[in-house]
Amino acid sequence: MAHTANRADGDIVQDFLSVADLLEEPQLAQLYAYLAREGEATVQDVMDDLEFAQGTAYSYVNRLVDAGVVDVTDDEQPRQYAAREIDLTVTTAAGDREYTITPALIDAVGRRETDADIDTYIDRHGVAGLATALTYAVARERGEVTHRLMAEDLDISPLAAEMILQALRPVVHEHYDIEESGAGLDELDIDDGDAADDA
Amino acid sequence: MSALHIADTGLFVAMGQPSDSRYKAVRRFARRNDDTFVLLELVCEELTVDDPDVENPPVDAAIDEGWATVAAPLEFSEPVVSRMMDGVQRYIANGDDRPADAALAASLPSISVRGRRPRCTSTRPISQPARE
Repeated sequence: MAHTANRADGDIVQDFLSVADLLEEPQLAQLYAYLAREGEATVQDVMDDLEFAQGTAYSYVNRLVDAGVVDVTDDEQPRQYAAREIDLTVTTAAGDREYTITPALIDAVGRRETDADIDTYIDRHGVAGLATALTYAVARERGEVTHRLMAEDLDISPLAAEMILQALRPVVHEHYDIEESGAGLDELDIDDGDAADDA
Repeated sequence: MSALHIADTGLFVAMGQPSDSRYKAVRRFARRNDDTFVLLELVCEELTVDDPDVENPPVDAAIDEGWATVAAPLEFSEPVVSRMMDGVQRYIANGDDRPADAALAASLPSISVRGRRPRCTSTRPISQPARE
């Protein structure tokens, strides 16, 4: 195989390893998703918005630049950084399964730092399992599937299905153009000031 | 006259634990309006499942506090119930390429009552929720 490898193959492998790094380290994934969302940002923005220490912010931004998934868009100080689009489809050798690594998946992995339900789901089912759950979350927001159908398909409890579907809901609406439907608890017009009812 | 709300699994998952502000907001809403949230037995079963991977939503706490209750199962011998279920099954089958039986089984609360936890069994008909 080494004889037939060319530069393009090498680039593809390099891209894959870069993205694999992102999926292994949730803080890198969180930073990539932040830059993808913001368009452009400085290291100071990263420190302010993600509450990274200065050393951590510089180190992570440089790692993403070295990995080729983030570009320096303005070399004037302070430097501006932007995420490069990632869309990588991984297919098993048998060709029976494939999943696509998208900015939405990287964003979802990045949220395991701050979302206990996503963290638990990745511990239990891996990043590949989260990728599958994300496809169900998109279908659910489109009204095409319920938590019970997902639970049946994936052989998990309906409660576990509902929890990951709700945890992934903000990711879906961040990355897919789906109109939000139904009411949310945030719409309950109940002020927090009256402690008497909480007794 | 107070309203009766039928709560699906998603509501209790979204509320979080009793210390969360969303849980407190729903409880406050129920108390101020003298409303009751009614859970079907299957929904109660889903919420109280013994799954080490997830933290169970506080359905017991809501029942103990008196603003949530478990409804008795639907009587399928009642024509209005069986007609409604047939209609829903056809609706799902028309909009989904799954077999109609599978769609119904997975989408709607089961009528099975085997092995119910005592907490998830009610003798109250759905039309008469508990009152404090």
